[in-house]
Amino acid sequence: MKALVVKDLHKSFGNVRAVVGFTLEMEEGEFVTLLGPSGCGKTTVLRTVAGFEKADKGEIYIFGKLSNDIPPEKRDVGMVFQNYALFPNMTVAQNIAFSMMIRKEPQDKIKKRVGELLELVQLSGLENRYPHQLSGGQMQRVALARALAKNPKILLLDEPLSALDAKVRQQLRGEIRKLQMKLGITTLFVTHDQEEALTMSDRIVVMKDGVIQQIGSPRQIYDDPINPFVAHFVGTSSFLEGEMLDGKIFIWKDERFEVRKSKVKNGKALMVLRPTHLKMVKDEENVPDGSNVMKGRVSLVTFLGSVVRVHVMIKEEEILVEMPSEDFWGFKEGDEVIVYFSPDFPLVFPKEQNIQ
Amino acid sequence: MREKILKIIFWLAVLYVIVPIMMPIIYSFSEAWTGLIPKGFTLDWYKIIFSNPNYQPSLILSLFVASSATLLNIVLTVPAAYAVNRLRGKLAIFLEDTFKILPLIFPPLIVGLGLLQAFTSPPLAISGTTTAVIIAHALLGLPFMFRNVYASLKTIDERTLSEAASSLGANLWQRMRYVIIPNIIPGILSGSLLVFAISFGEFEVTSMVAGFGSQTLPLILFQEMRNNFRIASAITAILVYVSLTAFMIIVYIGSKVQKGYKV
Ligand SMILES: Nc1ncnc2c1ncn2[C@@H]1O[C@H](COP(=O)(O)OP(=O)(O)O)[C@@H](O)[C@H]1O
Ligand SMILES: [Mg+2]
Repeated sequence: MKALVVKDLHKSFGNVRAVVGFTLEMEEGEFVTLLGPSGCGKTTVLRTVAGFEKADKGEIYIFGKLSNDIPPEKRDVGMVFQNYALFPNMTVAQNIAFSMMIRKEPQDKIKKRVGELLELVQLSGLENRYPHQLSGGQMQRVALARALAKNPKILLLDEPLSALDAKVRQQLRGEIRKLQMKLGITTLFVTHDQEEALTMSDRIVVMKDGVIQQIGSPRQIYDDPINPFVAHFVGTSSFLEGEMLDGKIFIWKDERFEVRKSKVKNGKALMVLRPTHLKMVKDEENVPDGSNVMKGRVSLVTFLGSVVRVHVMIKEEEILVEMPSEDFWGFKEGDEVIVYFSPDFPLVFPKEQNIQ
Repeated sequence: MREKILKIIFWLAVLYVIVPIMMPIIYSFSEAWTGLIPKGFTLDWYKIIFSNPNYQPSLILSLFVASSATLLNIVLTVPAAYAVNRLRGKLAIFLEDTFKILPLIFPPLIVGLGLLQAFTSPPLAISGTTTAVIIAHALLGLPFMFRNVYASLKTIDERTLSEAASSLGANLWQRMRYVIIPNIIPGILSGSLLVFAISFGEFEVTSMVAGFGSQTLPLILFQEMRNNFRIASAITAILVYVSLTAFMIIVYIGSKVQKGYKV
């Protein structure tokens, strides 16, 4: 049985169409991320699944049960909010135990479970603190433990990390994913941070203006974006505007590139180049046969830790090239360089598909 | 240097508040006060007040009216603030402004005249009764209750907290009982204190809507000021004691309600 099925969901606020024809099926234990720019309808989908918003049209099935008319307090879902939403008048332990107190579970059972959950989110010893005595990261851990306390069938997280510092965010990212895999809990996660989506998810749903653009594994989304918007939003890319000829040759300014993956046969087209697909050398003789070649001048070198990103000006356009730091051997700003790429890599889309 | 000046200003401000309250209290305990320092200690003025059949009922009446006006505001204004906080868009802003400002831009005199008119015409001919005084006082206190409760609903982000609680299985009653009320209780209590204090010391509107049977303490005080200034002082002192007691009770209740539940 599917853990969650959202079928043709529509939701408008006044004349704002927040979600349009959203359909998603989730397997049990899966971690799915809704990814897209702010205002694209991610939160609305999540809130409809949680029961806080009523669908205008479409159905929500939670483990096979049609849930459209089930109020939030009766749905088997746990929710974590961006601003934590901890109860300020309650201690950490009282916050976590809230759902069990509501269900009138016996005191000793509640105590034991709170202890387990505190250990799970690594907060043992803080049970008597109040939320205002905790750091952001600690508060979000409490919120997570609180949502897990009722053993929900589905866990919903709405940008839970975006209010935290970069360091804490990275750490919690890994922790949430490990916890999720350990518990095997079906999780629907919302973020506008592509890195978060790529690192945490089994599958990603990329959205724009309330409409799903693409659903796929992080690898699929990155390597094989379905349109320029997805290519632009997920990962870094350079875009070249040109023209396709016979579905094989891409003409850009006075260059001709051979390409193998084009969605256009003839006419105006947009080529997507990932920085990692491009290679850079000083002399032409080092370029493998059959590569597409461009000449340019280095305008900026940025060191990103494990990789070095080089901005190269080619025919008045800036193109990004990335290479592992250990393969980088001293290009400087102003150097004349040769950039090349295999015909297998670039994707070519029809021009009318915009990156915005 | 700057700190010193600030300190002096602070203590002057404290004196400015304390002295007018302390004067009648000191005066009410003294036998005579002609020079700079009052002379003699006596409880005679209080004895007179508590033995005179004119004063005692009015003290009880004032307490009853203030409590009722406060209760009325808790029952009506708190849910109203909750509802307005739940609304979205232009209507919400309009209602918010109405509740907060409207009763303030009319001076008590106008409110009194308006109420007098309303209370003398047939459907609501209650002018001169205690009920009329209670309603008038509740109305005067309403904006203060509304402001305080509304502000605390906004600060705690009531909407999100309610959603968090309902996703944890709490129904409306449980959300109110365990989450919303404990977190807005400071607002409700400070609102209550203001309503109570306003009602307990109210003179202008009361003098218009009250009848012979509904003479509150401030009305008696006003009469007494012309007769016996010493007794008037003692009445004023009693007004202060009662307000302070109300304040302490309210702080105590607040500390009890705000606590979470037992784990
Ligand atoms: N309660 C609401 N009232 C009016 N408009 C809303 C409401 N909630 C969301 N919207 C609008 O719906 C669109 C989608 O919002 P949301 O789902 O919050 O996007 P996201 O979470 O992707 O940033 C936005 O244009 C937003 O302004
Ligand atoms: Mg959102």
